[in-house]
Amino acid sequence: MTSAPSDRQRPLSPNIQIYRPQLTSVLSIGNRITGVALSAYAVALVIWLVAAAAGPDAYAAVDKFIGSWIGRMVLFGGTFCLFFHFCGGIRHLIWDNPKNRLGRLRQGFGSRYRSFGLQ
Amino acid sequence: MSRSRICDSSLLSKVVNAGAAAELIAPGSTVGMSGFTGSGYPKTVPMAFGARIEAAHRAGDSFRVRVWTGASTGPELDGALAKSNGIDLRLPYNSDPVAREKINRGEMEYLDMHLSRVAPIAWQGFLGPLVLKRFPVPRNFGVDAVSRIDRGRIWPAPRGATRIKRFDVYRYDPDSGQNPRIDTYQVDLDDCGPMVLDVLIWIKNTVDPSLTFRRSCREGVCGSCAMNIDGTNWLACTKFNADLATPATIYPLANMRIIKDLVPDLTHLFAQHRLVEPWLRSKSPEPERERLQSPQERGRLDGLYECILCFCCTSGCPSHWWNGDRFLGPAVLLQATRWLVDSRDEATGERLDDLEDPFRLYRCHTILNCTRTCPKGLNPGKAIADIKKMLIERRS
Repeated sequence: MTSAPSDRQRPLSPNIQIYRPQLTSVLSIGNRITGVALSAYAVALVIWLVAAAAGPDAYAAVDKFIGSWIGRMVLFGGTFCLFFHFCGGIRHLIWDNPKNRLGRLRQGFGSRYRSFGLQ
Repeated sequence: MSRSRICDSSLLSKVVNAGAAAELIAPGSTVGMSGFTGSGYPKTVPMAFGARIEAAHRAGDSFRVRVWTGASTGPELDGALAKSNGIDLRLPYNSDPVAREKINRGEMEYLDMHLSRVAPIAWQGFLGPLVLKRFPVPRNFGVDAVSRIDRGRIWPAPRGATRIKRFDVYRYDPDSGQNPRIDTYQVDLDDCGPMVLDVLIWIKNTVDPSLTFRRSCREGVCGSCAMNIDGTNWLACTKFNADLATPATIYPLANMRIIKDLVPDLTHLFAQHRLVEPWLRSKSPEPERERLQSPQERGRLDGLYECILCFCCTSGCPSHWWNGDRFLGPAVLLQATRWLVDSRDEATGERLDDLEDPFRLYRCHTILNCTRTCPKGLNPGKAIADIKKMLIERRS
């Protein structure tokens, strides 16, 4: 006996450790993560524009990075995030429309799958 | 030889000679060793250990240990340790002549029991507290100390069972002072009903009467047996065993303080329910007869009144996991909607005032685990969206 039951705090049952990811929850957290990633991507866009304004040498340096495989990965990731977030935003517009009749469970699910398919 | 047979370098680095292994055993320890006739018990380490004990005794130090084995051993173990007078207690069996003499002279404690009794008696604590060191498992990553889950025991299938399914069930006994654990049950599907609740009742009746869970109606109208089954929350009485993975996993409702086994403490959730004042609030004088509704007005309660407050949805809501102290959660907000849209209720404005709060209502981020997991097929996510719409419409 390490301690009497009364002075021992009750254990918390596991939550994220055991809860199965749902399509809805994955798309929701995906929408948030891509939103944050796009904020960082916007900074990269500004760097590219500033380099273009600063002159040919600066632009060539940035262009070289973009052309490298890391740069291409960033471009691809940014494009993916943009479209993922874009489709997520459209989904929310549909949901938030007071006239929408897609709110019911299984139909709402259909729109999730549709926007997933778009992506 | 060990280099070719042990592939894991971290394990290989632990290989030492018998003398170094014997050095690891501290005085007063309980040492478990394998044993089943002459072929199956350790020999070089006990002999090195016996030499170490003898050296300690010559130096005037006391050095004795308790020795448990699976079954019989021989002179290299019992004999060597008894000769050096190093055994304090021996169980469950001895066949060595030196040890026998010491036992008969009363110099050595001895528990004579059938070897099948050792494990149950040890688990039940009659041989003193068990301290087991285990490798940390990923499911305990970032979990506070009292909530960490240990591996529990494995309950075999009954004799003669042919259609067996494995169920891993979360167990927690507040009286044991120990952490929660996962017990494994081999369930005979031919001997119990088709639902998860039938399995739990079968386990309680035939295998382990200490398994604790709430249940009442066994037909999905009371909400007592809500729990986490195969990773999502549902009522045990309306979930088919055939739909579960193997092994099936059964945990209590996620993110709850646990009273015992599968019984969560719902006090906080009912306090949150109380906060939305889930009853008819009326300022007009009490009528002589019932408060009448048109079929349309009554129809607005459909999809809301059916909620049985099992809290599957709130327990499945990540937003409520992280902000459960202030976010009301889907079940309570669905109840709030039920009274907001009731034509007989006259406190709609006050109710909306109470809900207009960054945490109480607006922590809903439309993750929609609630709607996916509702065992009554309701849509708490939509109910919350309806509250948000009512708040916007009120503003304009």
